[in-house]
Amino acid sequence: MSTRKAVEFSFSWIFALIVGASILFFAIYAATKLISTEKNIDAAEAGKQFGIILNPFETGVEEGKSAHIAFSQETRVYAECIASAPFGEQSISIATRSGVGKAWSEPGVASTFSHKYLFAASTLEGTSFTVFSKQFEFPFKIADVVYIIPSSVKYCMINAPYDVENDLTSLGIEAVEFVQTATSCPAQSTRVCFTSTGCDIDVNLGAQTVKKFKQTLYFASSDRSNALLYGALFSDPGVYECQVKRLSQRMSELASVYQQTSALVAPRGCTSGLEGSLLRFSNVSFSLKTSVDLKMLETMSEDIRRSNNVRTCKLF
Amino acid sequence: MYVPVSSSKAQFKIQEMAFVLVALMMLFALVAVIYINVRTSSFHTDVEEQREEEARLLVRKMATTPEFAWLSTTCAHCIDTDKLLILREHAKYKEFWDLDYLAIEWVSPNHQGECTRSTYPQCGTITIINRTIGTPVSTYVALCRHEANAQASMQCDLGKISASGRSLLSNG
Repeated sequence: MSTRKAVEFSFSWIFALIVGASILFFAIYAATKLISTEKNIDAAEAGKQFGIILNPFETGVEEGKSAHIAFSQETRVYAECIASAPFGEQSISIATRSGVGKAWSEPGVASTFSHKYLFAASTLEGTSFTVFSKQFEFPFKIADVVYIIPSSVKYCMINAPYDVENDLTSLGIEAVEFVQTATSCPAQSTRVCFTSTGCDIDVNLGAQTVKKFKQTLYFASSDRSNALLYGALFSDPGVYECQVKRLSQRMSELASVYQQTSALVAPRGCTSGLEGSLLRFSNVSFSLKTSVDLKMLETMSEDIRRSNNVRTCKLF
Repeated sequence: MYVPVSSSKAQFKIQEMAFVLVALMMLFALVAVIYINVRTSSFHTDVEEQREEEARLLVRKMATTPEFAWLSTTCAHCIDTDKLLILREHAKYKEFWDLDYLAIEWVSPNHQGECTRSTYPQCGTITIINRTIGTPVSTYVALCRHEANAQASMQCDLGKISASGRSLLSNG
């Protein structure tokens, strides 16, 4: 007697296997998509919260403020500057370390703010960040500008002027160390030269320039809080130029407001005589394209400041 | 035509399985739709709450912004109402602070009415942004203006600044 042994694989078994595999596939796909969406939501919320946390850095009568911001895990902060009309935008988005696949998750939806000005590298990475703010006056207060330095980044200032050293030391900026010679700088720190050249960043106080990454950035010396100098030191050149452009847009609009305010209050006995100067200042700052154009504005700014300071009835 | 009983029984079982699977998929789809609806509505609430928190923090610091501040080095909570009267005419500022409502009003003296160049300063409110959606948050401030007849050429009154965050319902 011969037997033909065979496995009977009926159609119902095949059908069940195919459908079961499809259900498993779709379930895993849906779970993965859900996790990715939730991560995106968390990152978007974190970005918005980060922007909101920067609100208390607006200065009032104080010249500057500083603090530390810490995340529970390693985080990337993308701070993008957009110099569109009328005031440009500061975009902030956050990405965290991913445990699956790529090292970093995709950044969440960016939160945008028209009234914030962040001078920082376009991508910041770490768990802890030093944040400080300064008033930018030119000649009236234009905005509070915020600087963000990851705790892992260190700056070594060689022969810095007294006002810079005093300023940053009193703000408690631990990311910055002040030395007399380049050999005293800690390893892996970014060297900043004030009286010589050949460092990672060269500052020429006389020419009002900061040279870094083979680019020359201009700052205004009449800005007594050194807001633009710190901006050039602690941010990428592209970010610096974009923020200067945004600040000039706000400068132009504020000058126009002050000019019309001056005309409004003149009949009440408060004459400033600054209407013409402010109108010219507004027009010139509106046409600013790069930081080089700040030189053109500096003389006008100083004239307006001097004229305002001698008046009993001050505009600003 | 003769159909074997076992064959029709097998076909019936396959059909039964197919119906069960279809019902199972419909159940999963229903659960997914309910979950997405609940999650989306909580997401809307989260966004609104974040915007309100932003408005609360912003209103406390508004008096120190250059557009509002009175001679910034002298008084941290003083607002220059002369500047504000001009500011409300500048359309560029309508979208600057990402708010649905921003206004200052006099508490004392208790004048009424929206300020214009002809009624100022005998008026009650200067409204910068007025989409009037949401509940505004407020804080008390000093409202100052240039006044040649007053001592030190300035006059300050008690006022309030109110703002509400951008709602998802508003345009933009």
